[in-house]
Amino acid sequence: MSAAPAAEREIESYLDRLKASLRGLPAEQVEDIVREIRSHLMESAGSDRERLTEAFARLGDPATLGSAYRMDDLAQRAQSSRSPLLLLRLVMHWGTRSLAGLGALAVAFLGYGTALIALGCALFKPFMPDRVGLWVQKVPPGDWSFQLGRVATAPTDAREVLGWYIVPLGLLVGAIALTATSRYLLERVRKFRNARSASAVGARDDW
Amino acid sequence: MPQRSSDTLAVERWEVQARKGVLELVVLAALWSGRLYGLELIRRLEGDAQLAVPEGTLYPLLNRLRAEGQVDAEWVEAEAGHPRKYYRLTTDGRRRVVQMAQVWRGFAAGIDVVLQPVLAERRK
Repeated sequence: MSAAPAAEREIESYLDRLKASLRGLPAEQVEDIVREIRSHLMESAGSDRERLTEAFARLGDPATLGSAYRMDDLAQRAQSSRSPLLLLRLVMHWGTRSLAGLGALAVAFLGYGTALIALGCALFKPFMPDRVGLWVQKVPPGDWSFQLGRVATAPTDAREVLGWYIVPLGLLVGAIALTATSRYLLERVRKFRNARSASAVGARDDW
Repeated sequence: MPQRSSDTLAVERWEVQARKGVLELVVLAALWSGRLYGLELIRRLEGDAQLAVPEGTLYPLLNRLRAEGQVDAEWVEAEAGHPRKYYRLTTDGRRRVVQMAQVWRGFAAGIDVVLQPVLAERRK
């Protein structure tokens, strides 16, 4: 059975929007997904407009559907590679979609930011020993000011307190921040995906 | 009644939690006796088991299960004119669904024992 032209146009327009939201996946996989959803729409509705409307409703917004595929793909790759860059991409995608994702995004920036600064200090110290460090300055009355990292010129009125300890300390803090953030994000992603697939079953009060 | 609606809401929220992870078991189990394509799988679940699985969730899940090696997929030309994507359990998938089914059985049996007095009380 072939769909009537009007219905066919609606199907193709839905699939175009789905395709647009699958950007980032390998072309082969995009083709496969679009082909499967087309097959589903053709068989479940065909040229019947009423059934087609229902089929669209059950599939949901094409952007949301595409996003589910992309999240799965990113999560899978992030979980198997444990790469912070992939995790960051995943969380950035997630952060644009939900409040929970936004929270995870904030954690990602904070955690990976800390790791970047700590590791940066450790790695730059050997090359510019006078300009990397932790400077502490007493500011009266009874206050302190800190300056951490790589500076253009070392402050003259402040004392550098870490010396060469900044190398092992920076490596340690950086490694801990990096792994702790990655672990936390992987756990959050896993929980989110479980909850999402769970909320989907029986969504129509059938059990 | 406000009390009533807050109860309903709490139960609904609990229900979402209770369904956690069950979708995967349901889908893998439905493929136990042979290959199915997406729409067939949905109709099987709705018809025989009265379980609603929205397509918007099922298709991405099937895709994920394939990436994880739990199911295999193949395209088959149908007489209807459009090809269908069939899914079947892999050896890994069969092993996993057996384990999941056993865990579920043990779980459900335990819950039944605990629920008996609660439900008996209600019948009085």
